[in-house]
Amino acid sequence: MEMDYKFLFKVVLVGNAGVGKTCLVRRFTQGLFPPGQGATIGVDFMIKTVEVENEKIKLQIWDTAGQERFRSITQSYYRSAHALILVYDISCQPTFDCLPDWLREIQEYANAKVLKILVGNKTDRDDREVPTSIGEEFAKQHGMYFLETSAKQADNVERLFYEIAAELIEQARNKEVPPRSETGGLANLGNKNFSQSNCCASLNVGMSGSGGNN
Amino acid sequence: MQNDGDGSPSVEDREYLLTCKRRVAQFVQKWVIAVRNVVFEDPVAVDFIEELASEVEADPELQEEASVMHHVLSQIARYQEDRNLHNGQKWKLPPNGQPICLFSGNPSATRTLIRPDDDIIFRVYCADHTYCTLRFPIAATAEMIKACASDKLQLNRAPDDLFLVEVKSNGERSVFKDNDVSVPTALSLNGRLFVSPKDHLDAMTPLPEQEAATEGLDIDIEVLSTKELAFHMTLFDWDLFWAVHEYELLYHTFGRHHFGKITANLDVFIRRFNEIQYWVVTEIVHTPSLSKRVSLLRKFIKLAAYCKEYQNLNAFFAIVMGLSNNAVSRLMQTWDKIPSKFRKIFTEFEALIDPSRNHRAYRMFVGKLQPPLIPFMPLLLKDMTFAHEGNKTSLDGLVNFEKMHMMAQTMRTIRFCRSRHLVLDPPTPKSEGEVRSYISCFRTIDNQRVLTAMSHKLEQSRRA
Repeated sequence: MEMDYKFLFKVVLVGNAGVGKTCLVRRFTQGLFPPGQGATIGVDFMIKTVEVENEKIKLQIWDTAGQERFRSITQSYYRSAHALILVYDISCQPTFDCLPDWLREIQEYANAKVLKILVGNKTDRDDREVPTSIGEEFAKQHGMYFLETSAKQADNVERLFYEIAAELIEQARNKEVPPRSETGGLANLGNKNFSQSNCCASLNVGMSGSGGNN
Repeated sequence: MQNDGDGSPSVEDREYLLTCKRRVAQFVQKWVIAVRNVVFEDPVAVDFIEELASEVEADPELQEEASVMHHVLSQIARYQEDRNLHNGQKWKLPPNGQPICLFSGNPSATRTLIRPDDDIIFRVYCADHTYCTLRFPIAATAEMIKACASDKLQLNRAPDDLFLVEVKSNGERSVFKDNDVSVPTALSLNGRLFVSPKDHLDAMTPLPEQEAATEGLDIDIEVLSTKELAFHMTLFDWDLFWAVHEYELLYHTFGRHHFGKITANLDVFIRRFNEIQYWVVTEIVHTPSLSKRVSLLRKFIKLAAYCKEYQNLNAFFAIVMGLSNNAVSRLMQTWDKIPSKFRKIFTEFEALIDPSRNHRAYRMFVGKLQPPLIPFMPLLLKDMTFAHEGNKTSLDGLVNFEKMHMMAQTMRTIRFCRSRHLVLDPPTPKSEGEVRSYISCFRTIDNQRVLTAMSHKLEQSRRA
């Protein structure tokens, strides 16, 4: 297999049906919303290579859309995920109300150290039901990074994935082992914990502040 | 189907007209074959076909087409006959989480379709767990059910102040839209329907019996032949799969409330997937003896292998996913004791269900199979969702045909899977009756927290 990238990260999107998970992925991987002609879904459409700090990073994005009624299938996606994007729709309160259920599931299935990002999607809608501050507060309580996006207007979509890539590289470097390797070793344990406790804080400081672009 | 009245057309014109007429008849036939029930259910469409058929028959130059139309008419007649036979069918959503089934009659009779005007009998609870039993057509809206339940339960609230909500066994709540249809069939395995004041949604908690397993036959499955189990599961699942209309996938994907059309047959098939999967987990965590658990695990791996052989890939996935469920996969003492041959087979199965590269392994595998086969339905639903969410339905007032083709391709997969009737060599019958009733109603716990807790009781975590 060719290796044209240094890191491979698995990013999983979860959240209620209809919150726009697929639109986020397609916006990011193809830059289109919703694409018109000539856009067929290829088997590999959810892989994108990005460059952060001169490193080539392959993001493998796993979308659980359409399988919300098969919880155990989404559960099987969590395995070995490096980052989890939990999406709700800011114009639909019930999708926000389900977040604790999703978190419980994540807690059970995903690696405890997985990077978690809360995303309030559809900021282009003018019938907002979930205020930004509520989303932010919830994210803070649960040690998640927070961002509001609009897949439709491409707001914050690139940023979301680039920041995830940057954070994951940071984590991987701190661990000094390549991602996906199982050979963590005892020597790195202290380091791991350190980087873990730091990651949420640095994300909050670094990202949920000003809304500038990259 | 009208000729120009005056003047006799030239030979070319006559030929052209004739070709056009033939094409219309052929198109109608193809359309009817593709869409079937939805055409037969539509009185306007049936009127049109009947009129067309009599016009075609009256034309001496269209004898071949007349026989085509005759064939179409006889299909309509057969459908209506079947419909009358099953008129006023009554279904029930049993109170203890068992699968949806006919209210009365022979349970082992071949299943029929669930139709929009069939009735279904089910319970609606309120916060204090008192309930009323309702009977509604499958096509009834959530609003109708809500109003009736509120009345029967004497909630003294305006329907506008109420939600119809499902409370799942893990306490999760999901609210139905007022214009939702086929509500009772859409519930999760051990979910219950509640009516709740809008400001008291938090007060809706699961019933005590939702903590326990759904009711199933209490049979030691070790005494049943694995091959026989797989055989009857495949026949049973095939009937459920057969009842699903391709359009139900459309309604499901776009939202059935947009169409006011039911998705009950698809709902039942979806439930079946979850039922099989949680049955596997439930049986394993319900087996305290290590040696019995080891042989049960072997049996399930064999069962998956037979289902794969019978091309029942839906059940195959469900079983393998059940065995990969955290509550089972963490039982290292159990896994350590099964022969390496079985572990190797299971690793191969896991590779087949691996979702990497959008389920590449499964797509390659299934691409080589010949019908009849039962596909892994969740993937088809995922494909439908992707095509729908990722593409606009219309652009500048024009229909996006590319999107429609994509969705049609998925629906065509379903047609391909059942383009041949299922004919399997039956295994030597050992306990046929018992097996058939057992597989039609599995005992399941669908609350992951409960399953995990039970699993931890069986084998303590090594690190703990």
